[in-house]
Amino acid sequence: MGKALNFFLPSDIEYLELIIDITEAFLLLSDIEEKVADHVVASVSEAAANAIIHGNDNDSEKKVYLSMEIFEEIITVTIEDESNKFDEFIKYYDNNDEVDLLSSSGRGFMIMRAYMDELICRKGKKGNLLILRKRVK
Amino acid sequence: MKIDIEKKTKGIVVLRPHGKIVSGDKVMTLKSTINDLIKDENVTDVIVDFSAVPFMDSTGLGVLIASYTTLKKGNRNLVLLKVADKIKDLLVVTKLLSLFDCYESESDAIKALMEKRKQ
Repeated sequence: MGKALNFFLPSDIEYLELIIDITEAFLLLSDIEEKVADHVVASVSEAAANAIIHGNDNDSEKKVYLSMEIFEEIITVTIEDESNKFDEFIKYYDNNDEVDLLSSSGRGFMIMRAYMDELICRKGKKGNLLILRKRVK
Repeated sequence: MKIDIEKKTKGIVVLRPHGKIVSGDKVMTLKSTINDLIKDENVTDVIVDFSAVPFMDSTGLGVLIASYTTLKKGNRNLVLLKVADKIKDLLVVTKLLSLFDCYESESDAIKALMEKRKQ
């Protein structure tokens, strides 16, 4: 049987550590291998930070919605913001692997792409929706 | 975020952050602490000890890169100490491992920094 978790939080960067802690706990309780869990946690952290900072413009009146599911040995995480700037979201998604070595930003998608098996971005019901998938083994 | 600062020999400072380095107040604390050290002319090189850091995100990497670049311009150095495999992995996938010298012991890091000064 699969495991699933859904939650939402105010779009405030100070909640990021809580999102990381919840993700770690969910994966730990699901007996996911440590390295796989580390990669998922790092990717969720980057995606959630992007949703809060870029998607929702640090507006704590908005929310960030997360879902996590483990089904048939695949971990699926969705992160949705309340942005209506889908064009900007796509721009980050498309261009983010070209970063100067000494640039101090712009590595979020690079990390997600390296750590996850699949990344899908689309327009969600509330805003920009990012879907992250990784095989358990 | 708690950050211990220990002054070593000849302008070398060891910085010991405790906890996850993530976007928000924690990364800003790290940034301002390193910036204060950079402004101090008596500080020549900075060692960031990761032994109590279980997690770091890309904004933490950004602070390290910006600090490294600023210090390098003044012919000073920033090196990393006791980096957990998880964070080393992050340096690999972001192609930053070649930028930062990583050491497993404080004495090795200090020795290497002293050698760099002779070059």
